[in-house]
Amino acid sequence: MGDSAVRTERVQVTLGSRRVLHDISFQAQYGTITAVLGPNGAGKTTLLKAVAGLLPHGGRIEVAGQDLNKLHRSDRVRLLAYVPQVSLLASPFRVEHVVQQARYSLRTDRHSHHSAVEHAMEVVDVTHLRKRSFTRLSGGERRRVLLARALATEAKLILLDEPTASLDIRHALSFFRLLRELAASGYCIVAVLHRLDDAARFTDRAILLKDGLLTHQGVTADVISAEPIRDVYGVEMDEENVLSFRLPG
Amino acid sequence: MSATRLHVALVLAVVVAGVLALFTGTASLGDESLRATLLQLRGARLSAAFLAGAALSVGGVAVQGLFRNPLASPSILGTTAGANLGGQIALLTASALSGASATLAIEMVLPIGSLLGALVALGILLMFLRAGADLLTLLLTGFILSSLFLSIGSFLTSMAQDSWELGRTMVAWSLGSVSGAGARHVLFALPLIIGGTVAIWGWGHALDVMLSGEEEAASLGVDVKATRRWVVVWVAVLTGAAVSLGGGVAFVGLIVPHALRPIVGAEHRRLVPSAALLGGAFLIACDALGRVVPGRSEIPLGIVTGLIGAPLFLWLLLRMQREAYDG
Repeated sequence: MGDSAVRTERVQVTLGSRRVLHDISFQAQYGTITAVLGPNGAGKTTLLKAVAGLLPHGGRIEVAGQDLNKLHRSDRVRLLAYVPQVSLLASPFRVEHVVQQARYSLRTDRHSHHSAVEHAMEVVDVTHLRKRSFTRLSGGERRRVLLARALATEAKLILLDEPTASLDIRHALSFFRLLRELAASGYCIVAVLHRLDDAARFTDRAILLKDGLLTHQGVTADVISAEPIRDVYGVEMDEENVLSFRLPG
Repeated sequence: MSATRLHVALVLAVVVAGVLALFTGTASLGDESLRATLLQLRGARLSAAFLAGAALSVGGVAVQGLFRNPLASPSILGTTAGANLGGQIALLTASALSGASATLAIEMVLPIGSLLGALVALGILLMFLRAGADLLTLLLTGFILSSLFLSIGSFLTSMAQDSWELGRTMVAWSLGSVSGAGARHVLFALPLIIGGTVAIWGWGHALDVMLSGEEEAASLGVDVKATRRWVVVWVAVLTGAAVSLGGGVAFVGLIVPHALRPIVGAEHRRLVPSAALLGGAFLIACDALGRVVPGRSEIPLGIVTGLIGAPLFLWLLLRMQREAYDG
């Protein structure tokens, strides 16, 4: 475990007249993967967007020890990258151009831009797709390209919203393996996940949300256990097999 | 095709269209006594057509990028209708002030009126943007403004029918034409169109990132509000300047970016210069074509662009759909 990549203190988010998040406090360290779990409508994506600086919030969010609200746009891009569940990108850009977009607000020399983009494409293994049109890629390839764009910012905190949704099992496993490698090399990954089995297998820590409240947090194995799962999802956990759940009664 | 080759081909297209336009018309350049005057008039006219076509096409590139919608045209913001209405009000005002034929008094009143009309529409759009309007609200505001300005314009045109000459001028204006454009009109619009084109090119990278959606763009450091605001401002300037030269000219801003994307790709900084050149060449050619129809002296430019643009656009749509199926 390293330093805190992100630390939130009593974060609240109000959308319109509705309070969506209530006093969420958690932290995530560099070198780890943290799962954000909870049923539909619990506020997982809202929390991720608040941490990404995309939603106004109450309370305090610190990224790499700095107050998120006081960070300039380009400084924020240097510190954190956000990959939404569904990208609206439907333009026939070449893959390398999509990855280069990561450098939009970063003022460095051409060589730094080039090496960051090349390194990101290499890590995510999309270099061979560089001349292909983004719109002609498969779902799994698009996910990898968007992750490459996030890595090309050189931010060490990566926020992912359901990164393996709509991926088949092979692509999902390969994606998680990549995330584990990134965490091993010092990145902090915070990912909204729907599948508890994925969270149990691939993440170090988890936070569990219900109706905008953080109900449980800690080591993933402790959070994905019978009592919290019953409290939050209203299902019984099969102690024999973490992949198996059943409705009560 | 490389960008350089494409630009060379497009410059050649502009030159060829320009030369054809110089030689097209009822009067012949062979007549030495008319040659200098004809060259001057047709030169100003083809310059006006080029500038209007370039402005509308660059405006089209910008709004299609901003709204992430390849079916958007620069008229979507209501600034074109605003500029048209401004021109109509200018014609009426000039007529009332001169008390004689409006056409004698409008040389500069008309372009200034058009630009003011576009700026009024822009002012209303900016008011909504300042109040926090999102893209959908902006789109709807543009639609409502267009409808409102068109209704007022139609009312003014019907009122103008009391005077035969003024009524004719108003109708001709609404149909679009660069026949009345002179050197002063071109010089008036030139800096606006160059400024607008360079500015949209400057916002090109931001517009590229905005194609991922405003949220993703914001996460990549794009100042979404500023991009939205300034693109709207420059599209208003471009459309205002284009209308000041040619009145209501349809389809150019819609089809030119469409036609270019399969060749140059979706990157705005590549699209902008190509769109300016192709849009310019297209409008020069349409204007020349409107002068070679037998039995009439001339067909209004807006009608020619509509007649060519609509089927061309349908063909482009079909091609796009086929490519989507091909994967």
